[in-house]
Amino acid sequence: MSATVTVEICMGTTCYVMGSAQLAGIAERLPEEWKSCVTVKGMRCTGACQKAEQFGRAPFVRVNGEIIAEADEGKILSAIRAALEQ
Amino acid sequence: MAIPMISEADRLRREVLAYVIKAVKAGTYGDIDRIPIKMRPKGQPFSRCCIYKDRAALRYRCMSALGFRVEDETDELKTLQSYAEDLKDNPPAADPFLTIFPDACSACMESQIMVTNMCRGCLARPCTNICPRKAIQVRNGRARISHELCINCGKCAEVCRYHAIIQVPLACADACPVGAIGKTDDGRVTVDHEKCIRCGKCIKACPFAAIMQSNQVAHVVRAIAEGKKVIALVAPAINGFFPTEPGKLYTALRQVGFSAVYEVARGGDDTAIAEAAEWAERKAEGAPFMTTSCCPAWIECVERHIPELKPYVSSTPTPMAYTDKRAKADHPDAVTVFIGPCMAKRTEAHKHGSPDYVITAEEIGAWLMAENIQLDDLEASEPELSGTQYGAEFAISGGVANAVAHYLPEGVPTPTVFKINGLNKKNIALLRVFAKTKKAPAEIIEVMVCPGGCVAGPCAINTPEDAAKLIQSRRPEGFK
Repeated sequence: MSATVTVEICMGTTCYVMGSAQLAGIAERLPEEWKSCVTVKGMRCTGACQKAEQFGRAPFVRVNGEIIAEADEGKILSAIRAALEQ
Repeated sequence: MAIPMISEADRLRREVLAYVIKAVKAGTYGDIDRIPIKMRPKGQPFSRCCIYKDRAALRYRCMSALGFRVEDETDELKTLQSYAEDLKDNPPAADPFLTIFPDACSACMESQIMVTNMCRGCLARPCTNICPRKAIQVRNGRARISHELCINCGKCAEVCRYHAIIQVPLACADACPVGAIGKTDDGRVTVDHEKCIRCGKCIKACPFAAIMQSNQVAHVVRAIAEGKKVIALVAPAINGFFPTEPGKLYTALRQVGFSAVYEVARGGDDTAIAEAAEWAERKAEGAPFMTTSCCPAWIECVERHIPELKPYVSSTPTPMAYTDKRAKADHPDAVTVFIGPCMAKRTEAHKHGSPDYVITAEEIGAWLMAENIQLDDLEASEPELSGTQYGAEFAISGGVANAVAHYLPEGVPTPTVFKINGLNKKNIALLRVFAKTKKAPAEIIEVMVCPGGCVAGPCAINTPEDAAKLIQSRRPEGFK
């Protein structure tokens, strides 16, 4: 497992209030074997929250650049798994 | 560690608040009637039995966001626009602020232990062995529970090797620390407001979001739009809820129209100083113990359920009351608004007639959402009144007792402390014993109804752990 995965959690107001506050600590909850190859960081508002028709609902998270709308712990973990298996 | 989760009910509530705030601010009241359709458009997925029930529930959610109680509805055809127009001449709904939309209630079954089909009627039968009431018998190859004997202890569920026995919860009633939740004849939720201590735990617990609260933010938005001078009294817990320094939030509050920002942490210092002096006095008079007084749900609990404990409860005013007094002294013409994580504070304000409004972290979060304010982009600003770290830590379990100890008058020995970190049925019984025996395990009993302190309030928007960490990260050198 040599791939690295970058998870960016939007810390903009809308995303934060709509649930990214609860996702912020996800780095600590990752499976041990993933911790060395997954980087979790915050990101600034991308404006996606103002274009619901195009992007969907907040909170937004990017996993290796790919936007996830209505992000939750399950969706993020699946995206990381998919990225690692690539 | 439990995975922190935000429920879809929380998200819906915040979205509704944001839409309502936007419309009230812009004066486009007609938009409010469109919110249920906007949030549940034709052809899109729905969460209840059909899209129309979703929309009906959202309509009542808008009504409560506007400051009305569902119970006060007299005409089902009255538009949300006309409710919004009523804001001008009507104060928000009075206590009780809890409001129920009974049709959203799923009429869940009573909390009970149940044997499921997975039971194999095994030979080992650990369930019958562990049951302290002999309530389980195996008949026709399956364990049966006699509900007359069962005390819901759950031991049988723990020992069953097939996980065949489950504890079926009644979410709202299990969360209520005082037994205020009942059922109507058709099984739907009712709240006995005489028993209710306004803690708001049931709002968080109900998976169908049938229990709501009437908000006050629409009135505050309106007061600002009318050009009134409105002062924000910011509870210490709020500074653990946004991923930024407090000064940026204060700038945001000014940007949405508040004319001044007062930190309730300063009121926390005032409370701790007065409570320390009160304890010194009480101790000199031979008092065995004293409980704290800052948690309004605790005060309701004492008044409604443990009146015999009243002589032992500190009579010191709360941080909110002190801060409000300072703000009103500085600006007698201003409207004061407490911003916190708590629902019971609304009841406290209602009882004392001040501050003028109480809004929650969710309401202010939704407001910033509505105006699309990014805290990171702002310059930090100073509050008009600031408190110390001791006052700020009132929001965290242990923080009040620590502040009282810090502010003790000279020569008074540091009191021993017993913490009630989250009120429940068991520790209410314990507190009752303290009153009866006039004895307690420590001199200061710090009571916080929410486990973790105010950072875990029912209207919080961050996890209590992260909020506490954020507040504690601002400790100056030498803080203890």
